[in-house]
Amino acid sequence: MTAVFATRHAGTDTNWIWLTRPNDSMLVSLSNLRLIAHYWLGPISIITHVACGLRMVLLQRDISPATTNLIALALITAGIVTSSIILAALLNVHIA
Amino acid sequence: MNRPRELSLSAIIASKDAGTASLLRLSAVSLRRLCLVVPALCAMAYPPLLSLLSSGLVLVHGSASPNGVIVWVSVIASLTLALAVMLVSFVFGLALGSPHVRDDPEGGRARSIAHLAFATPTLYVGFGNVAYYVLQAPSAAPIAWLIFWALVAMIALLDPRSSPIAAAMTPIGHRRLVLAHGVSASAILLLFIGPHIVNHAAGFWNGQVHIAIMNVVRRVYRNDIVQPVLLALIGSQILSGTALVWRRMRMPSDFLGTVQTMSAVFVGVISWPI
Repeated sequence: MTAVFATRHAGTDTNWIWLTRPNDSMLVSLSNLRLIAHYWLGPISIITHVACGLRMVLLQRDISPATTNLIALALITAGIVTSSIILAALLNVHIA
Repeated sequence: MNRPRELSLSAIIASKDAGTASLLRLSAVSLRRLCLVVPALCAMAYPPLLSLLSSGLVLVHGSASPNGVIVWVSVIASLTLALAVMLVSFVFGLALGSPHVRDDPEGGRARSIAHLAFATPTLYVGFGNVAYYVLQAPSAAPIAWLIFWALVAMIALLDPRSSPIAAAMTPIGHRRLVLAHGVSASAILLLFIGPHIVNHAAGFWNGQVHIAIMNVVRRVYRNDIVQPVLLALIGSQILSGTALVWRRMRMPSDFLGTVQTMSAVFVGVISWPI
């Protein structure tokens, strides 16, 4: 968040162009790989946490543990797929 | 019950042996304490290993400029490294959450450290951002990282008697906090995270579609009223989430329960203004 707020404060729009400049990819240099895991894991962690929170709510409503676990794992898998799509896009993979 | 010769992870972690009578017992205590700092050591090793990986990739590719297959090799390699650190932390967090160690202050402290180490990939980016944007000294990040984790490892090695007592929370207070956390999270999901994730996924179509959607959804989450509300909600999520995770650190947990608390810490690190 520091990067976004500091850049916005400096008057730069923190949009897609800012994120993927200058070669339409977030990976600018092989010497700076740390952002790959950060960007991939961010959405996964959020969706995973929401899935686990939903699991607790469903368990309290007497839904069977097998069903709640299945729902949570399905959501986590969806999060991994979504985040992989986002990362691919950030690395200049597009379908159109 | 405790068998000093048992060298499995769960047995070492479950050992509460604090006696000093025999050499074998001393070894068990030392071994256990060393095991408890493994996640911190893994986190500490992450930046040097990432640098080593970068150097190797540049050497093989002949340039630091990524193109072609090296992009995907670097993606897979860097994700593997990050996941390895997280996996070690997860295994320790899960083992420390077993019922055998639930009331052990030393184990509880190490369990918290394992949770923090799980967030290593994002926490290290946070260190880099503070060093670059706030301190304007990018080279400070790796040094600050080493010092930070050395201190964290020392905390794990401290005498368990000096461990702080967990703050008490009544069951009603806990229920209310959980409810507030869930309601606040739902608002953040609807107003910001949901549209933001859809917006980024739309970038897979192309950058122009992403920008077009962004211009629409930004009208909502960058609205003069909505934006401060969102920031306040995120702040409340961090505070309530910290209290909830802190409480869970003193309770036994299963696989998905550990996934929940570890992802909570990860989300907290992302949300924290670093």
